Amino acid sequence: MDPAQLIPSPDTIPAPWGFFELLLILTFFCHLVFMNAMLGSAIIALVREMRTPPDAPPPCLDIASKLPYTIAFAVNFGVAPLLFLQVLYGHFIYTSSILMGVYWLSIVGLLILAYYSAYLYKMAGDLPGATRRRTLTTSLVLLLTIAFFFVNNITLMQSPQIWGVYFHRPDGTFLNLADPTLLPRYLHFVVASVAVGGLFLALLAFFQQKKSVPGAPKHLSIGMKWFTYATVVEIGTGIPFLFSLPKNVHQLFIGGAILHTSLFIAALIAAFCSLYYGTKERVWPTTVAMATTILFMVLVRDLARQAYLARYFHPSDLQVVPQWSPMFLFVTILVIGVAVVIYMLRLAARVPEEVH
Amino acid sequence: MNYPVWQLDFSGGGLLIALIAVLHVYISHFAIGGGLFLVLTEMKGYREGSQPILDYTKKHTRFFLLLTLVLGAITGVGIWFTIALIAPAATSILIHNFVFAWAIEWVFFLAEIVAILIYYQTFGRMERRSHLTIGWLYFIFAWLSLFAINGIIGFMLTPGEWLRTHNFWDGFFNPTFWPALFFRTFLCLMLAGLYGFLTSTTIKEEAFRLRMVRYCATWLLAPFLLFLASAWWYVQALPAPQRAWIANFSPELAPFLTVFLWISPLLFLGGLIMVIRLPQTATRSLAVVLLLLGITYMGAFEYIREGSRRPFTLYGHIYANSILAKDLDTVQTQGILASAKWVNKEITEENRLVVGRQLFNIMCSSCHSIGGPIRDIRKLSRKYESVYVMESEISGQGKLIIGCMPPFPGTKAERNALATFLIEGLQGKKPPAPPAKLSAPPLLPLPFDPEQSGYVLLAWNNLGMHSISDADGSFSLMPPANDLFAQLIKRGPTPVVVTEGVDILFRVEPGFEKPARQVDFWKQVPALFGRILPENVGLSGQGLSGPMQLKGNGKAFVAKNVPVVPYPTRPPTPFSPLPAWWPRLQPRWAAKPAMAAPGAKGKQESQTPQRKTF
Repeated sequence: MDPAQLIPSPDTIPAPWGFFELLLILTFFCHLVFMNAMLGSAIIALVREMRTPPDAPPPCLDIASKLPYTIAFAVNFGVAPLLFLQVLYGHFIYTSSILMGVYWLSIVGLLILAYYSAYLYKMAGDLPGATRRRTLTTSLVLLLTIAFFFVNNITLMQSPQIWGVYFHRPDGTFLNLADPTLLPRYLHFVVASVAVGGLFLALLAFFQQKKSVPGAPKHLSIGMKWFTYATVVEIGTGIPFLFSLPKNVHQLFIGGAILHTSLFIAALIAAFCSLYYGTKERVWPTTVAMATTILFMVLVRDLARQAYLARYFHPSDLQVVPQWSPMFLFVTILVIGVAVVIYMLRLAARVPEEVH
Repeated sequence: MNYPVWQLDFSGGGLLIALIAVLHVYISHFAIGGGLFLVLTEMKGYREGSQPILDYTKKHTRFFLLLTLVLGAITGVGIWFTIALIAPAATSILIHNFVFAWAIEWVFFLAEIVAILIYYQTFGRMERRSHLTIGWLYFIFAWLSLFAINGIIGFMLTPGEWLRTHNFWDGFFNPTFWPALFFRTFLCLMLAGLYGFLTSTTIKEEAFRLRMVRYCATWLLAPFLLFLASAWWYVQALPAPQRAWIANFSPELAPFLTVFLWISPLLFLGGLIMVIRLPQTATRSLAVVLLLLGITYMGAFEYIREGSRRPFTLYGHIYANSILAKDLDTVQTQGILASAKWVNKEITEENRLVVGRQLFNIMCSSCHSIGGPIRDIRKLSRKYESVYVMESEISGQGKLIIGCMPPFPGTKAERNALATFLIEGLQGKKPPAPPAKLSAPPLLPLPFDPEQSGYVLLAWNNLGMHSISDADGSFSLMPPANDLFAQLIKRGPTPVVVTEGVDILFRVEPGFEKPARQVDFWKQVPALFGRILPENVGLSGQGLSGPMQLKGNGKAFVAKNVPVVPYPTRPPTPFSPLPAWWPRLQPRWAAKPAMAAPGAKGKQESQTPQRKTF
């Protein structure tokens, strides 16, 4: 069956596609930062919990206290890109979600359990190590499972050529396991999380250091080490991921197209910069370089998706029926909302640290 | 049509969305009212200089945070996941038309999260005024989330002018926007009280517990009348078709309306009982009971609201089966398979059941489960005996069964495939044996001698057995009534029609004499015709046997309106539309009518059984 015949017809969009593309990229960038900090710090915490002797004090109170909050923001900043993705690619993502409906919907339940497990871990500071490990492992395994389902859906949405499987599996139990990019992509995201998680710890330690919290310099150093080693591994996982992409896609990034290749090179340069500053344990330059890397990688990723779907669709094909006044209202509320959030964070920052 | 359908069977028909939505709305309304509860209770604590109140507020904040931020927020995302999975076309319309409303709601959601986390994390440590500011900001953003989402939800039920203009603001500020906003706002306040019971009843110190439980009761009881008034306003603001669903207690909504009407006073009463000084175990149990009543209440309301949208997902714009109202004619012209993606394009003998299943998925599964708790199609289609009967029902949808279901827009072949899937695929009913061919029982050879007989008696019927409903209790077509004619001819070089000096009598074939035993027409005569009729006698007073009258033109005899029905009381067959008639000749000079001994006097020349025919 011709896959083009299966692709649903899209609806009109209320503003030029570039506006939603910009929002998609920005909010997805924020989502990745929080998601990576959440997943990475949970992985690091589990490793540290495993290494800690049973009678030693909890090694990760700082991570434990932040984990539920990073989940909250990872979810919130996940909602926005998913919204804008639906605006531009709804007819692809709805279809792929339905093909794997059972797993896709299970994310809701898994996330609730992961979230509550994270709160349990937060509250388990005084409990034995085994209990802490159990709650954290539960949360982490669930989060990793959710990530796996997400990777499945994102690869499936850009592969209409295999959608015909619906005619044999209409019950929503299909996973895109045969996709050669699936595992490299998954690994690439998880390892990136460890790197960002390490950097997140280093940043927390940096602020603690400013408040002269004992042990902060050591924590900073440990965080940066996690970041550096994970980034090296990350570059290692990136290479097979790149070459697992279809030839017509990956060639664009290695000389096939100027825009694609230059963005990819920029991302690599930023990654190497972050690695350089990481080895020097310079938190802020590393953070800036890492954020730049993530932003470029988000752009690269978006171009890769467009290349995947080029045969069938480009967001510029969408018909625009403008809604200017709601759009301006949104931008205004976004500005006000962000200002109020900053105001609240500033109020919170003035509050003295809680003594554990 | 446009999207594949997630084949859910047991959990189809909207079960998933019902479960997740009821849970979400119950918590999310609390997330709004509860926000105001927190900041006002904190203010009360400061005003009264009461540390216990502040401690209680902090404890309640933790409960609030764990419930609303995790279960409330994630089930909200869950609704979004679910509607995209089970109604992607309608979801796409909502997203693409209201993306800026969704995006604005996301900004509010972000500010809410930041506010409540700071509020909880800094409780007792932040300077009072700033902390209250954070609390107020939380409530304002939470309520603004309701404001944003209320526009979109209301649009689905009452799109109003949007149907004509497709203007964002027309859809957002739709006819039920304001009543729904007030209704939900009052509900939020009441839920703050209901959830407040849950934490306040756990306070150990009795006097303080009673004080706080009463405080929570005020939250439940004070907005109650305003809440009911806004509910009334909400119903009045509904356009006529949607209001009719509710006002007429349509059969499927009736139980939910009843639940809603009954729980209203129960909740109020529960709130009053909580004010009384009771043992802690009693108030704690009652708090849980009231919370459960509350979710039932909310579930009933949401079901009524959703139910009154039928047969649309977005009223007047897209049907529950994802066909746009404007496309209905096109689909009806070209058929479902030609219009839909994700289906086989042809129906063959081999794939009839498979395509029937696909048609079920597209046309029916958004509202009907297979074997599940929501509108189980297996149960609903059980009463249909055959594919033909099922097809008849399907073709009546949207016509006879107005309002409840969209019309079936498929071709005859598609209707047949769907009915075949339902009856043979789901019910496992075998195709019925081809109907037995009716044939007339053999006629007896009659004693007629063409050489010797001087007379011939001919008889006939002009109507045939038709237009009998045989279900006069339910509906009626025509009364049982057939006319029988007979003509006596004297043979000879110039045949002569004999009309004088003889009587002609008739009787129906044995087994057909008691039609009143077979059909309930005679019981229904008073209702249908306003008169009483003896059993087995027709409307003109004619029975199943007796003398025939000379017809107006004087050439034939007639028995008018003989109430014969095609159901003999004796075997071999229960249905026989071809009974035989026996007209009988009787000379005027005979002493008595001699039905039982025809020709006893030797004057009858012939006897002709006449079959009625269609």
